[in-house]
Amino acid sequence: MIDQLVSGFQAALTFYNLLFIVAGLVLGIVIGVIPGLGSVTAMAVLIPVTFYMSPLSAIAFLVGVNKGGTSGGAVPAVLLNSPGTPESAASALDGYPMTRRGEPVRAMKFALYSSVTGDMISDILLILLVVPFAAIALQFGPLELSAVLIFAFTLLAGISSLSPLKGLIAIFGGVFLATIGLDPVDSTARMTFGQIRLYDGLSLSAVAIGSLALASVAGQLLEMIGRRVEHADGGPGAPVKPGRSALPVSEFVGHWKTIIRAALIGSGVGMLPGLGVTLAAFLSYGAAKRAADDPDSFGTGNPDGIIATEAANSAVVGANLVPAIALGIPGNVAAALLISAFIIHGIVPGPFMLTMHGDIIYALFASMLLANGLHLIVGRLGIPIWALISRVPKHYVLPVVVVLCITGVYLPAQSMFDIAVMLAFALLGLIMNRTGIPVVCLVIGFILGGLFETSMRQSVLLYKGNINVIWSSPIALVFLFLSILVILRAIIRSRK
Amino acid sequence: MLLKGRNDIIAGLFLAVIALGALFWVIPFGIETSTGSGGMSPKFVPQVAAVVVLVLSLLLVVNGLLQTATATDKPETGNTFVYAVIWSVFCLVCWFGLSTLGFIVTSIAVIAVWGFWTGAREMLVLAALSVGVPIVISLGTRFVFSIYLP
Repeated sequence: MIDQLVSGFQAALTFYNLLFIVAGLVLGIVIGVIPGLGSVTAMAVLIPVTFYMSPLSAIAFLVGVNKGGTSGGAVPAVLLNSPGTPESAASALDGYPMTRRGEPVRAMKFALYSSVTGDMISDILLILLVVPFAAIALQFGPLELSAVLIFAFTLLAGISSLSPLKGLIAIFGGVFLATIGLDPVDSTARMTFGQIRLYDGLSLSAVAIGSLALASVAGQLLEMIGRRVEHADGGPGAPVKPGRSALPVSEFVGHWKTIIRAALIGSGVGMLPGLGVTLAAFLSYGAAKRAADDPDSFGTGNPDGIIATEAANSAVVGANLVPAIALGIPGNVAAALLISAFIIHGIVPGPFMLTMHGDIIYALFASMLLANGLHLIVGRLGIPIWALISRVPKHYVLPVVVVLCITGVYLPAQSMFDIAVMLAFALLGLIMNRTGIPVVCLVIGFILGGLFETSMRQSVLLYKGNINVIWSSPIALVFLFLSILVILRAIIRSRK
Repeated sequence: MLLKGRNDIIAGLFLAVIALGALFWVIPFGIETSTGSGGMSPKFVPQVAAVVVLVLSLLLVVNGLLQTATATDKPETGNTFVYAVIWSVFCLVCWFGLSTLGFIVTSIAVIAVWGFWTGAREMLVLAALSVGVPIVISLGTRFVFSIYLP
């Protein structure tokens, strides 16, 4: 593994690769600091731009966007008490009081250093765990894979929304949409109605950008109509007493217990499908508060609150690639978008990825580690700039994002049809967001639908439709049993 | 009495109708072969997905009906409907604009109208943004990717 990692570093240490990582980080942070947008929007909009890059540069760029977008949300949380992303909400609890007492730069440094450290720990765990995970996954046949996918679907549905029913509806809606196009076995045209453009199925970037990025922007724009623009407390002109801005490394390292706890919580959450970055951040914040000698100081400007939140939410970024690379199952929507980028660049996610594209995967790992160092430099140098960007009013930013979405979807195939698909999915996403049906489940169902169908049909072919074969596969049995448990638990929880 | 489950009932009924449409129109008329090679029809997975959505949607309706007896909070369905209508009109206008007027003109209108409508009142900034961004994007895609936007 060390040899492969060294080779990975050799491949990753090129000028262009580093440039793309830095560009990804900068764009990710810039989009992340704008309240209402985040790493998912940033990745969705920027995926089409990667079509013109090599697979490694493309994935490294998107990893940079994801890392930057996740940590960027802390800037407005700390400065304006207005988190740029949901996962940074807990950072505002202690970051903003620090700003009010004249330590905004120190608070942002705590956020940045924690973010980079949590991310680094998570990346190391990813590198160590992905091979054993993939080795186990290689034992899976189509039957076991079908069972794992059913488990992932139920876990996602049970956790990603208050109603497991809505989660499952969205997932199977996504699976249904994934069947549009040519049949994977006998190439029969399915639900294309003579449209040649649909033979390859619905465009993944159109579906993802429409339902995730554009739907979110549309919702915010529509909410803003007729409302007076509100300035967050502590916005431009708010009086802030000058205070400490220095943060010696020794002081930061002194919080090592919180850092490691947060990174492990974030990594654990990241490895399980559907749990999400926000949950990791709040779990970690709660754990840090419970473990503290002075829990009452949380919420009044305790740096441990920022560290716990930022280290945990950034730790999800690396860890969610463990199931994505080992099994082809994304841990969250950011990983789902990364998987879509893998697919777009001809890399099929799953256990064979390490054997077929081992060079790219280890170069990706190296890029992720390099990105952490670059993140520290870019983030540290840019603190004054991010602070300015976070104050740009949304009514100037969001319409521009609409235009960027249109451009992003048009670029890959130069197809007006894809723009129509995106606009339609934005409408669908808007309605789903407002009715509490999780869009994330729809997108993940759409991404995994093809794999689910293929593995199911292979199982039927292989075992000649004999359903009793399930009893001969302990792995499939365990995952199906776990699926039933997850559904029952979710139903009981939703009844309370 | 306002119904807490009203949103769920409407969403469930709407989804059930879509699932029925998929089962009785889209799948039968959209997939020609009834039996595929290897024993499983190409219709099988779409049908399973549609049936699951139908059943779960009906369960959502039942769930919504059960919630109505006690809940009194205000539903948001009205807003959702208005938002959906506004967005649909925008989509149609945007699509028509892109097809006939092209990217730059449509994008200028998109940024200017949405910006003004959502509260931007610094006209110089809005004008610079709405004219500058589409031109920069158009030139960027032309010279960087050699792609001409519509």
